[in-house]
Amino acid sequence: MHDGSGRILVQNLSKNFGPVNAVRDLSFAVEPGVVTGFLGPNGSGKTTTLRMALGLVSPSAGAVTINGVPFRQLRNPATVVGAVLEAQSFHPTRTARNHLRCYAAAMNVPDTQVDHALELVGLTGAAHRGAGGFSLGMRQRLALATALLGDPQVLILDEPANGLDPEGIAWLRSFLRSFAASGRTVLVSSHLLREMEHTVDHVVIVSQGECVYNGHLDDLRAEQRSRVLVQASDPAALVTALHEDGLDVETLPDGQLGVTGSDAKSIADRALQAGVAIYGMQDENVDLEQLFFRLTSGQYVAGSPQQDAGPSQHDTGPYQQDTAEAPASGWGPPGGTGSHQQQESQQQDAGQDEPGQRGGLGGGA
Amino acid sequence: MTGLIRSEIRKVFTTNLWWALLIPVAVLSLGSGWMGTGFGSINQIEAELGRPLPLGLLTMSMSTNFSTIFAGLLGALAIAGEHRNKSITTTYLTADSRGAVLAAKLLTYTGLGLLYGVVNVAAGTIGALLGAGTNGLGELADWFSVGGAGLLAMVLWTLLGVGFGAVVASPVVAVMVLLIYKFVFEFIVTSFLLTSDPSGVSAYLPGTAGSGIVGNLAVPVFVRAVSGTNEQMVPQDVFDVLHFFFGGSYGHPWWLSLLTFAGYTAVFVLAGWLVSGRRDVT
Repeated sequence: MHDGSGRILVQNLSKNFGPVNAVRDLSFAVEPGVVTGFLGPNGSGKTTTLRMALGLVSPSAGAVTINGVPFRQLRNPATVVGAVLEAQSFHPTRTARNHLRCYAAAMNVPDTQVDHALELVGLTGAAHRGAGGFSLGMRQRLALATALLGDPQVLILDEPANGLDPEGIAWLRSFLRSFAASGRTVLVSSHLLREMEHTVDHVVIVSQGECVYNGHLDDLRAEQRSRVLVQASDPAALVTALHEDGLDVETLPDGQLGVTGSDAKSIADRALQAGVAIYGMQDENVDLEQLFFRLTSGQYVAGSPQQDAGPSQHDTGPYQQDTAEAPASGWGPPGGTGSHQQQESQQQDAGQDEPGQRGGLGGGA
Repeated sequence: MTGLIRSEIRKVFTTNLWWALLIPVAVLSLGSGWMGTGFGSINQIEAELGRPLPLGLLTMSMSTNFSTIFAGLLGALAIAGEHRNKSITTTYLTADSRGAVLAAKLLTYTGLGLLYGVVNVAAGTIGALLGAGTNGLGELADWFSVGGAGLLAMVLWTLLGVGFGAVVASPVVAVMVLLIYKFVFEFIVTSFLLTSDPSGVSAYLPGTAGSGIVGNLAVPVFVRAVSGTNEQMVPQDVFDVLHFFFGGSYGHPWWLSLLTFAGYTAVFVLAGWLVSGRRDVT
C-alpha cells in the first residue's frame, strides 16, 4: 500500500513516440504543502509526463511514484489522486450531476459528495444540464469537481487555467493555495509562467522534454540579474578596464556593452578613469517571463539552459526533502472552504444577472 | 467491484443509447412474429396438414438473429464510446485497474444482453400470439428452448461487442466493422459456400455460429412439426433454405454453434483485455 506521504517522485522518466523523444530523463519531486508549477512551452512534454504519472501512458524508461507506489498499484486511486487533464471530457448528453454520480459510484463515495462537489466549483445551477452544452470554463469546473469527489490527497492539473476568465483564474488560484496549505500536494502545469506566478511556490521548468530548472520560485526571482547597457567611445578599452575589475561584460550586436554585476555610477567612474567617453547608459531589468524564455529556449543565451539553471538545482534534488506530515482529511481545502463558497454564491448571482455570461465564471445560471 | 458495476449501470441508464437500440429489437421481433405467422394462406396449409405450424419459432429465430446486432453494437460502444467522448480517462483514473473496468462492463452488459434477449423473446411471442394464437408457438418446451437460446445468443453478442470495442477503441470502426461483417462479408461468403462447402466451414464462421444457436433449434423443431412421422424423408434442400433465412446450418447441433460463438466471444474479450490494458490513453 501507499505511504500516505503525498509526494510525487519522477525518476529518470523518458517517453518516445516513435522517433520523437517527448520526455528525456526527467527527474523531480513534488512535495506536499506547496503548489508546484510544472512549466514549459507547448510540446515540452508536460502533458505526457502527467499522463505517465497517472498510469495512462506507459513510460519508455523510468518511473513515477505517488505516495511511494506507481499509480496503477493504488487501490481506489481517485481517493488518493484527483486529476484534471486536458483531453478529459464528458458524455455530451449526460448531465453534470449524473456524470458525478457515475464516478462517485466508481469511487465508492456517497452520493451526497456529488452535491458538495457541484457547490464547491459553482456548478449547482447547471447540475441538470448536459455537459455537451458547457463552455470550456464550465467543463474545467466539472472536471475539477470530478477530481475532488474522492477527497484526494494529491491534485494534478494540466493547464487548468485554459478557458477560465480572469475571475475564474483568481478563484482557482486561491483554491489551489488553500488546498496546498492544508498539507496536500498540488502539481499544476502551464505554458505561461505569468499565469502561474502568483499561484505556485515551487517550479519545475521543462524544455524539450528535459528539466531545465527545479527550485523555489523566489530563488528563480533572485537569479534575475539586471545589467547595464553602455554605449562608449572606445568599447575595447572599457571592456579591458571592466575585466580588470572582474566584471562580466558582453558585447552586444549593436556595439553596446552589457555589464552585469555593477551599476551605472561605478561604470561611469571606471570609464572616466580609463579615459573612455560614455555616450549613453541604460539599466536593463530582466523579468521573470524573460528568464522563463531564456530557460526554455537555448537561443536566448550563450550558454546552455542547463548550465544556467545549475546553481539552484542542487538544493531541490528529488531525494533530499523531508517527509511532510500526512495531510488533514475532510472535504475540501480546510481553512479556505467557507470563503470560497461565499465567493461562489456571489459569482452565481452575477451569472443570473447576465445570462450571456453563463459560460464564464459564474457557471450557474 | 460492486462500485464499478454500479458506476457502469449508472453510465448506461443516464444516456439514451440503451433504449435507442432496444426499440428496433422490440419492433423487429413484434413485427416479424406478427407478420410471419399471420398470413391468410397459412390457415389453409394447416388445414391440409391437419396440425398447426409453429411458425412463431421460426420468426423468433429470424428476429433474434437480426436483433443480436443491436446488442453487439450496444456492447461495442461500451468502451469505444468512452474513447470517443474521452470519459475513458476519468474511468481509468477512478478504477483499481483497467481489467476491473472491463470486468465491470462485462458483468453490466451481461445484464443488458439479458434485458435485450427478454424483450426480443417477449415481443416475438406477443407478435406470434397476435398473428396465430398459441398455435404459432408449438410445444411449450420448444418455445422455452428457442427463447432460452435467444437469450444466450443475445448475451454472447453483447459481450463480443464489449471485447471488440475494447480492441478497436473507436466507435466508428467498431460499428462499421460489425455491420459490414455481419450483413455483407459473411452473407457473401455463406451464399458462396451454400453450393460448395464440403467440409462445412461456414457453420464455424462467427455470424453463422451466432445465428446457429437459435436457428439450429428452431429449424429442426419446425421441420419435425411439419413432416410429423415423415421427418427422414425431408430433403436437405428444404433444411438449407430454412437455415439460410432463419439461421444455422444443416445437421449442425445448436450447442456446437453455442460453443463456437462463445469461443469467438472469449477471443475478443481476451484481446480487448490485453489491448486496452496496454494502450496509451492520450
